[in-house]
Amino acid sequence: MSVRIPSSILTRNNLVNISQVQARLAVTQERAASGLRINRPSDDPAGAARASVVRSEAAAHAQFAKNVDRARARLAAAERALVAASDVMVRARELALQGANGTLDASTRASIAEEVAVLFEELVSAANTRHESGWIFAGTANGAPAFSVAGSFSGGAPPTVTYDGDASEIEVSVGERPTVTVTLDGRRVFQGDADGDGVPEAGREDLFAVLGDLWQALTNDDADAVRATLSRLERGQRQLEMERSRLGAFGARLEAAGARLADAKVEDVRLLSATQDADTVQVLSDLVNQETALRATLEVAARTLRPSLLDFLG
Amino acid sequence: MAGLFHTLEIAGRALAVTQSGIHVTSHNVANVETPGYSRQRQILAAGNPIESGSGAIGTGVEQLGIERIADTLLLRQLATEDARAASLGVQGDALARIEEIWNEQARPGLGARVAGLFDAFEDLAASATPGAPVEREAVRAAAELLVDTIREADAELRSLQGEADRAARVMLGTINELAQRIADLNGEIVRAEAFGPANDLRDRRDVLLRELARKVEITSFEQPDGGVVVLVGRGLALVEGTHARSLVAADDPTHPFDPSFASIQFDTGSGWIDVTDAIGNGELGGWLVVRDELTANAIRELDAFAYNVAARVNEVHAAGVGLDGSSGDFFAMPAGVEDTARNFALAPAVEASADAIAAGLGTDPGDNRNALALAALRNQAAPVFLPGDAPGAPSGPSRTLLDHVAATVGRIGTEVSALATERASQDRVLQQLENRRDSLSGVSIDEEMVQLLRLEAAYQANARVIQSLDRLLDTVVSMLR
Repeated sequence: MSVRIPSSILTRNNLVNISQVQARLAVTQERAASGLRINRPSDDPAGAARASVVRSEAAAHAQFAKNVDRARARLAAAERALVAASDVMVRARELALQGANGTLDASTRASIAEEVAVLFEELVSAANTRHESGWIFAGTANGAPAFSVAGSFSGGAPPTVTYDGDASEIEVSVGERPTVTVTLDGRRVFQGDADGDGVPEAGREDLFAVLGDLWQALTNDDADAVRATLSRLERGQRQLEMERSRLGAFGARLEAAGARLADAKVEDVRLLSATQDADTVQVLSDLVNQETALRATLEVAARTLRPSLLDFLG
Repeated sequence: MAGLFHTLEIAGRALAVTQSGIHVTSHNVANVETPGYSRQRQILAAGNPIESGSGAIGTGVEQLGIERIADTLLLRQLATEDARAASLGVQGDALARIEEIWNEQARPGLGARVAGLFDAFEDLAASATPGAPVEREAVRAAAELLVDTIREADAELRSLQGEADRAARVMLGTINELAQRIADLNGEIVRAEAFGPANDLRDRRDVLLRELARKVEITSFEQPDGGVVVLVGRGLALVEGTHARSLVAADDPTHPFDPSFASIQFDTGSGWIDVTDAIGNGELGGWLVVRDELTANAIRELDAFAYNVAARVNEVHAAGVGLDGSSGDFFAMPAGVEDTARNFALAPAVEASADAIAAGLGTDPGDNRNALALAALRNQAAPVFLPGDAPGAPSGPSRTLLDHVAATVGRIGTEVSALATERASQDRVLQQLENRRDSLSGVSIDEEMVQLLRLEAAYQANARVIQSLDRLLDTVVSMLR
């Protein structure tokens, strides 16, 4: 016996076919509109999970890149302070050379001493440099000036400078593992005291003390004592140069991290796009194909649903 | 030998039978669009012959009855598949809403909020300005956003769960009404069938049985008198003869999520039997799965996720010291994994003051060491807590929090797409069965038209026989004149 095909079957099959083609078309239209191949996890569970991982990695990389920028600004501020301190030391050495000249009279030395006093203030101000509201040479105790000055030159003796910061260095994270140091210990930089015992280590100088001694020698009109500060001033300057090269090393690590992060950003974008973005050309060709398919399905429906024997009976 | 009048009677009855055939055709055509209608046809037979000396003489045509063309087995099968399709439909719609909670494709979701908190920790660590007041507030804002997102997700899931419970309760009324109508039809059919098959009533009952099956999975069988017995749950007779029992909802105080959620009870007339676990498919079964499995699992999963976040952040946070010298939790530490999402909140100290955020290991305003440790949590893998784990005893694989999000996204996506595939194939199964039913029982206009042409011809032929008999009788009468 042949299969009976009542019109209800044709109607049902046609409706199912049309709705299937329309459902596919709706998916393609959503892809075209959002530009995404994955619009919800069920579109591609593994891909959605991967996209989630890539997105969080990209976010981390963006955050690290921000950290690098911020750290770079901080190091630049420290660098400027050290340059200023270096300039102070260079000028102080020139003044010391002048003052060491035996033919100079006491009043000339006194006027040089006044300039040294000004240099002293400049050095203190460089050592108390602030960046983003924090005193950058104060370690982690950066809520207050790194150095405090007791006494003044008018008292006959040079003022004493005390370090109020701590020896901790601040580190920031610029990648998954490494942290980069972004501060220098002010006591070591300006007072040559790395271990915090209050005395400069061998081969290092307390810059404030050197300037104070220079001022004292000039004020006392003591050419020999002035000459004695010359080598100490030179050592102090070298000390600042060394610290600058340390900053340079930190900066180099930052630059390397920054370059790595810039590469990572490009890669993240590429990976995320490859994981979740719709292929525009593919989507457009799908769209055209499915529209054609829909038109064909509708045409077939129109043709199969219309005729019945009634059309042909007289 | 048969007489002329006998022949006339044969022709007359043939006319009547043919007219009845046209009536059946007309009934079929009239019901071409009636849902559940089974085409009918005349059962014809030649009349009992009369024995005579010269052999058996035919007595014309006889209509034995009118039958409907239907396959009861196919209808039962359709009811079963209807029940399955209805359940899958309800589950699929609910799962799509659960999926949206974890959907990060279109807008930032839970993963993005956790990443946002780590970003804020990073900013706090990278700033190392004295006290970092701006960054501290930013950490608190990011944490509050995460708290809100988790609580909103939890509220959304719970509202979906509540909807499922209400839908299940409402469903019971519809089920009881359908059961009553089937019982009523049973009575009508039994009465009518004393005189012959009650084709149209049976069609109506089959439609109701399918409708009932879409609401709740049933098994049904017919009794010799024509009434059907409808069983639900573990073989409890919802309909038997003209009697219908009912399903009722009772508050279930032992329900793990809400003591006001309903259990489904079968009212035997003299007591109640709990059939909640035996409902099977159908919309009712679908809503129960949504309530007790899909949303329940999703809530537990969200709880576990929130617990993981709280436990990890708190562990590192408590090791540090806030600007105010305090040490403690960052998130209010939940007592256990269960219900973490619903009660997710910042610790009271952090809620009260951003200075309680432990950025350092000491109270130095520039100390960022603990903030670094908090930020480093982003990439730290540790065993994750799964639903049902006791505090301090995570049983899951070692993962970072964000990998945990990604794994959950992947799992839910797989679940949804598997269900979608199942739904699609179920739809195809149903379509095939419907087509088989229509192929057997559906009215074909073409067929009916052909039938009509044949009946018309038969009517004309019988009329011609009467015409010729008329002439013969005329001849006989004129002979007598």
